[in-house]
Amino acid sequence: MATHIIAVINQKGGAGKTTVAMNLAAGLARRDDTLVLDLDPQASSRQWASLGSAPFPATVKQINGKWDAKTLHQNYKAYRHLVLDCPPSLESHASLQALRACDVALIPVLPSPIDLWASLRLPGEIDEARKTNKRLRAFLVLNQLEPKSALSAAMHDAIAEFGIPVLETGIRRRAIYRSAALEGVSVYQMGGRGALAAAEIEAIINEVIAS
Amino acid sequence: MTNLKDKLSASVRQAKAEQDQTAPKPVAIKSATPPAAPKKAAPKKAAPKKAAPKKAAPKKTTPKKTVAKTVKRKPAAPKAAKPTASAKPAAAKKAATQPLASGVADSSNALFPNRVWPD
Repeated sequence: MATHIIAVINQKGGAGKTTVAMNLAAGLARRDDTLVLDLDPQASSRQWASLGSAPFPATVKQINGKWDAKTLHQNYKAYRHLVLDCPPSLESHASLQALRACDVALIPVLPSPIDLWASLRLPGEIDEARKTNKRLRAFLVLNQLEPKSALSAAMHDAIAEFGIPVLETGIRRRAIYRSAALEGVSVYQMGGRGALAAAEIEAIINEVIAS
Repeated sequence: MTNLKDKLSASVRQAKAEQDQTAPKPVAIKSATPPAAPKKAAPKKAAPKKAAPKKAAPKKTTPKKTVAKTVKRKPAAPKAAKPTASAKPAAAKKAATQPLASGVADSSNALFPNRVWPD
């Protein structure tokens, strides 16, 4: 079976790429062999996985230097799922190659106008990547939603201006995501405290897989 | 709430429009660069090259042909160059000469000669 590649990408820093990538990978690892490729020079994913007393459910590796879609498929064909944690830049080799290589581009966006404005280049980059990667599908996922905030509630409409479909499931702002990172595990491994967060990630996985 | 939605959507549209406006600029700059090169060449020919042949003249080694070439290029450059391209060297020449005569009087003509504006 071919490797399914999900790129978690946004040029804006602090949008929650690593949090989404790591928990998504943990959820996918419950189904099949999953690898997280940390493409960010900050190496946050690798750092996250190295903190845990127990091994992280998905394998986490960092890659540097030049690579392309072909090398990804060749080198990591043993894995069913590949999650690419992209750097916060669209100019980098890693981000451009990730868009050319992936099946799904998942774009976390915070419910803030500043984050929306900063992410406006993405639709163009995705259109550009589609010229070489015909199978590429892209989804926005709202991250750190605050249910009582009117701004969070208004985001679904405003984000439609991007012209990229938005996942029905949004990720709520929860301390458990940060706690899991600190403990080097995923929200799945946080027991009852992580149940609601794990349910969100499951819903996202189901949406992405079903799409 | 509706107001907030509208505001947010409008801000995204505005940011998008601004981005779209700024996006074509690099293309315009690229297309503008080729004419910029002749512009640079023209003033070089105009001012400093006049001095160069004068210095070269006593040597007697510089062939007359090269002098003729530079002279020919001078009128050719402004003719070939389109309105904006030719305007700047012309303005520069006038600006350079006028301060010697009167200074302020004809400065508007010197900066914006009639040829600048298309019909």
